[in-house]
Amino acid sequence: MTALGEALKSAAGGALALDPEQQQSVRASRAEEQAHYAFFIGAGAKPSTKTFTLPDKFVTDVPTFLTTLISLEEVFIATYIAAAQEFAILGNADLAELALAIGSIESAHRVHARLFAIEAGVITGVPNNIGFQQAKFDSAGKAVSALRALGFLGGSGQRITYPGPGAIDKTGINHLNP
Amino acid sequence: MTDLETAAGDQMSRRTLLTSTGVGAAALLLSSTGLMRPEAARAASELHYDAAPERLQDVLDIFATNEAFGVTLVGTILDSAKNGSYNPPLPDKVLRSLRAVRAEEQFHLDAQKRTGGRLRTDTFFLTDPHVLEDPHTLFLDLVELEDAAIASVMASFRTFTHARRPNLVKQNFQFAAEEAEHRLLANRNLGIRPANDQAFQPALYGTVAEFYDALREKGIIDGSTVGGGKKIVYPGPGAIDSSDVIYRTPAGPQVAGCAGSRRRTHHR
Repeated sequence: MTALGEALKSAAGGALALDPEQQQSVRASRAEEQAHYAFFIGAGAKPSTKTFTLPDKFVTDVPTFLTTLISLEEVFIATYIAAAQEFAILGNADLAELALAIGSIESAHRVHARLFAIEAGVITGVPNNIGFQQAKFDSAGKAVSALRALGFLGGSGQRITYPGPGAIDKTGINHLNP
Repeated sequence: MTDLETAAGDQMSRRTLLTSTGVGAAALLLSSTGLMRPEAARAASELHYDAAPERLQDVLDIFATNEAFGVTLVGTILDSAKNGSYNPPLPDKVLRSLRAVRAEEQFHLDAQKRTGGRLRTDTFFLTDPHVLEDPHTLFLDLVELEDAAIASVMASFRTFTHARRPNLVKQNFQFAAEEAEHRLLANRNLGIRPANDQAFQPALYGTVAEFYDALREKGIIDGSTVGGGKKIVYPGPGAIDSSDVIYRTPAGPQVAGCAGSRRRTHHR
């Protein structure tokens, strides 16, 4: 949500050429990520870091923004696929269910970004181009390495701090709690 | 020591899970107390163990049946579009996406069958004829059906967890999250903005049986109980076109301790 806040700020300033629907979608995605974060904080979690880095051109170039966002969402989805298995192994079905409740939303973000990328001529094909979401990790903790590889953690780009610029806009968002 | 015991005892803790799931919430989270407060975690466990799990075979059969319905429904929709029944006509890019949706539902059905799922019926009913004529009715219906399908998988995790089948949690997560993509596209075609209008996918059912009952109440299953409707039979009209679809099996690495299948598989 911090990175999306930076993207929205850049779009508002004219540096990232997102159209109004794309900006609305990103605002909604940011609010949804905040709802996930708030749930974990409310459940007793504490962030190990609130500082991240932006990949090169993420907030200045639409093709880079959309393709990186697709990759980022795929990491999130794979994280929750692994987490759901881990929760099931621990015998906690409620948390496994919650992982899917969140992973489904990240999947919606993925296909939305693909749709925008197709409409912008950045990629080809259909938005829903996969039969199954990809499992990438044999433990949820492996996501950290994937985020480093994308440049969102410990990268050389601009350092950003949670929650990022601008207010969270929940307009049009339902089911703000699990 | 079994794989399951090793995984639960040595590799995982709520702290580990908290760190990694927090990534998905766009922040790295580390808890000094665990993902949930002790009382909350205890309540969740008690809820889980107090609930009567469903028969695994019933869950797999219902999922297989619903996927067969999906293949048949979308085939019928595409056939109606081909025959010019929609007013206004469905755009070409929407039809291409729907062709992919149909192929994806078939891949889901294939996976359910490999796991042991069997069709309870191959015959379904469309009680509202407008679904094959009016785009608004169609996409409204699709959003509702996708929400229901995802919620049914959420409910199934109780049974899979109780049966100690995390591999089934993985496989069904992978297809249910794809249904969430179908929902987003239907919601956008419906004209909803933002199309991503949910922060959490809602839990609509306590059991998968409740989902099946909902299909019956809607007339999709055994439509004769609610006055019939258009009868459609799996796989529906026309060939399945999977040319736009990759990742056709629920492959990829499993978490250590997953029983019932190979440790690592490859996408086909």
